[in-house]
Amino acid sequence: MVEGEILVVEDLRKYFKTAQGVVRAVDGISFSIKEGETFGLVGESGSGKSTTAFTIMGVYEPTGGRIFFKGKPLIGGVKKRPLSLKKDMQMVFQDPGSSLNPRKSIREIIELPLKVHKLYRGKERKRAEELLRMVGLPVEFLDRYPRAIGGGEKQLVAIARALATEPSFIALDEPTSALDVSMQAKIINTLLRIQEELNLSYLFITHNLSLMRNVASRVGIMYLGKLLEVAPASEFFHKPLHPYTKMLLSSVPVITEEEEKLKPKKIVSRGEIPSPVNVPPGCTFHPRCPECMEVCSKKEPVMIEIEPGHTVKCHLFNS
Amino acid sequence: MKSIGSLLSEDQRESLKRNWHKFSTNPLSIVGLITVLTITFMAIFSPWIAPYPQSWGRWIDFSQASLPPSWKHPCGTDIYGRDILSRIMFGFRYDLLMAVCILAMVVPSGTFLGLVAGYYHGTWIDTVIMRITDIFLAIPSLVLALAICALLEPSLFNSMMAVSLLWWPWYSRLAYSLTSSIRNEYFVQAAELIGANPLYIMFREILPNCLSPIFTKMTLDVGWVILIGSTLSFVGLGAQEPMPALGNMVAVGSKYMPDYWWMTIFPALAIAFTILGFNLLGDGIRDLLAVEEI
Amino acid sequence: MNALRGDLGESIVSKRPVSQDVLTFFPASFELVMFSTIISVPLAILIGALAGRRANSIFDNIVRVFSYVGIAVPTFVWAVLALYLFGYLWKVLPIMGQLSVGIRRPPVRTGMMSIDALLAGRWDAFVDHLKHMILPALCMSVGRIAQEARLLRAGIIENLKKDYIVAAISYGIPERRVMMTYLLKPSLIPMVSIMALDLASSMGGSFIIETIFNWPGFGRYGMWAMLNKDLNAVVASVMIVGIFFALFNILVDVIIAYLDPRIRVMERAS
Ligand SMILES: Nc1ncnc2c1ncn2[C@@H]1O[C@H](COP(=O)(O)OP(=O)(O)O)[C@@H](O)[C@H]1O
Ligand SMILES: [Mg+2]
Repeated sequence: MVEGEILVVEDLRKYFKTAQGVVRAVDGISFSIKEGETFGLVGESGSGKSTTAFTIMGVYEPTGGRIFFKGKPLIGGVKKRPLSLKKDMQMVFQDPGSSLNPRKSIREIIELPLKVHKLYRGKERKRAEELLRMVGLPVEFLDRYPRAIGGGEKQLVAIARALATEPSFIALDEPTSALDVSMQAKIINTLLRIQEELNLSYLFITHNLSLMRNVASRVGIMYLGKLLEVAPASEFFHKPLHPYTKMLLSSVPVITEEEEKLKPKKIVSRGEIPSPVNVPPGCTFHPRCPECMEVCSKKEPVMIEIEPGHTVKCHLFNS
Repeated sequence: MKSIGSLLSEDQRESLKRNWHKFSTNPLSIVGLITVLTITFMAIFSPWIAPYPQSWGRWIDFSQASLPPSWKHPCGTDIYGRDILSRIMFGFRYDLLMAVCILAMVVPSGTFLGLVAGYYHGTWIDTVIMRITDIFLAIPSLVLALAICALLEPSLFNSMMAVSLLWWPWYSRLAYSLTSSIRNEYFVQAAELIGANPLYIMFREILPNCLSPIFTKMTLDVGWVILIGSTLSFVGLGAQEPMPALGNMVAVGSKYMPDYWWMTIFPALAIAFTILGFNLLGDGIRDLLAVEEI
Repeated sequence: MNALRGDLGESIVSKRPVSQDVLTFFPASFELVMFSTIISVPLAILIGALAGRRANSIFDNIVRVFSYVGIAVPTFVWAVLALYLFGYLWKVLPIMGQLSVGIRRPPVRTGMMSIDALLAGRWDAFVDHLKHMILPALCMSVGRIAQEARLLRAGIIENLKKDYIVAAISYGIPERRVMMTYLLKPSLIPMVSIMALDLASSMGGSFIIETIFNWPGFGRYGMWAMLNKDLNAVVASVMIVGIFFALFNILVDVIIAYLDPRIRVMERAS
């Protein structure tokens, strides 16, 4: 346990039993998040990002592995966790449409965490107004219902609700993927400003790599339930190592000429992400990998550290 | 008390107006609404508007016995000389009261059980509650109601208990399926992550989102409950003479068929209209809410 | 627990083993319920299909009103009205029992009198018995016909909007063939899936109908047991109805699997 790490995940696994077989949604991932930083988790849809967040938060009980929060192990699902822990960890969901109860006013929604945790007793109303202002919404919103406000505004309300318990860690599951570009920018900026003000730590999940360079301090690339590469965000864009990372980066739209030069050669994305029920043997990425070698379909590579803080899981670097 | 208009926001008033407009375009719904309002009015005010209020109970006037329909007695009189129209109005009272009481017992209890089972989806609580529900649903309701009534003393109260006992599973199943899907919504998970207690989540987060289908089923069920209740009183297992429940009026009258046909036919028609009215109204409300949900 | 071994105890009133009573009375009820199914299902399909094909025509509107009324009016009200109209006013059909006075009973073999009459070659008894079945069977099935016709109508109107039907019609495939092969089968599914429930209400209805029309079947027996608080007989009748209902549910699942190929494929895959 390194000083200053708020969340440590070790060999986390979450399998689902379904009619089609066992889904290995998260299959042995390890990473850590430092206090006050944003750890980005990137991957195609279905790679297990949401499941990772839900398992950390306790919505699902892990199948295996360990999670430490502020040095203490988290045991079991959300129902077994103490209230103080729930106060300290919050989450913002992917779909703002379903994350607010349509039958409750914004005030009721934001005041719920205050009441549950007995915060600002008697001054809940004032605090709710403060929280709305913090996320940049007008206080008149308090008496509206979710259906009367837009998608981006709903997401801001969801953020205000997460902030209400005064957490030190927030998991953000694709907080902007359902929104249009201008709203995306507004929400990201709000999140970053609040992070600075309150010294929050984020687990920021997205399938949009280009978002990451502005948001995250470190990034992990996830594929079929496994982490393939973890690196500081800056290094990521300059020196990607894993073929999958290169593939993702090569499809990112860029703004300047300079960036275009940095970009890896265009690699055509091959094939679809396989089903997590039927995981390919060896390296899970090998059927789509442009640099696939013989060993790749036989043996699973191990995660190795190439440079301090930059790890990769690929046979190219395993020799 | 504030007037209803001021209680509602601009937005709500607007949607109310829109709904009413949609509802009123279907003539069948309007027929249903008018029927239900008329019957409810007669049921509530029967002691004051019935032409012969004394016909309610043990009243005998042989000079008026078994008269066919006339201006004085539009639906005729029975063998004791009681006015059938008056008795039908009182009959509405008993039948509606019965339906309201039954639903008042069945809807909260069934909904509660379904809600709990749905919230604890996949646990032993779910298994126990839903197994019991399935067992109740596996036997045709009328037969079960008859059997339960038969084992108790026949009375209006006992027939109500019997119908309640076999009606709750429908609500527990409805609430169960609604809850099972709503509990996966993010707002429920958010409440769980905040640490709200299970009762709060069930009753304040999930339940309000189940209410409109439950309400629709309730309006549709009034007709069914009256149907089954009147069948029970028809076979003599429900309300007893001289109580003017519509079912036993039909039963008593049918002994004097065909000569005194009015003793049977008018109460029978009254039952038919009551149930029809509630079914039409319920369908109208269902169509309305089905569109609203989308 | 004895009930599971087929021993239902002794009837307090008839002083005979309940299982023997059940065997005596069940065939007549089965006959009546089957007869009502045989007349109601084709009728419901005919009415529902015609109404759905010609939505909003005069015929369709009549069917709609009928379906509301048919569902809303309780069985016993139909029975009372039928007794009055057909039995007393117009005197066209017999209203009591299984056979008219003066016609000798055919020897009992199956317990279902129509079949017994045929086995014995007794046309007079067969025809007379059929006449006796018409009113009770109809009263028992008005609600079913209404309900099933309504669902079929809705199903056809829904399916008529589907692309493949529109395409089939525009390709000039004869309407009758489109109706029979593409439209009717998928539209029957919702109707068939409530048939089990409908049969259940028929079974419940048979308790009332058999009592009113004095039909010597299981329903009348059960009703009589209930009114006399004959506990063993009551438990037995509820059980038999439950079992019958369960068996019919299985049958309905099989029919639906036949009508909906998707379900069959899904089952094979899993
Ligand atoms: N509750 C669940 N039951 C069964 N399978 C699930 C469940 N949740 C997620 N999965 C499966 O796990 C895999 C990863 O899903 P998810 O974590 O939502 O991916 P992502 O968020 O990266 O798109 C998917 O294949 C998904 O179908
Ligand atoms: Mg996701």
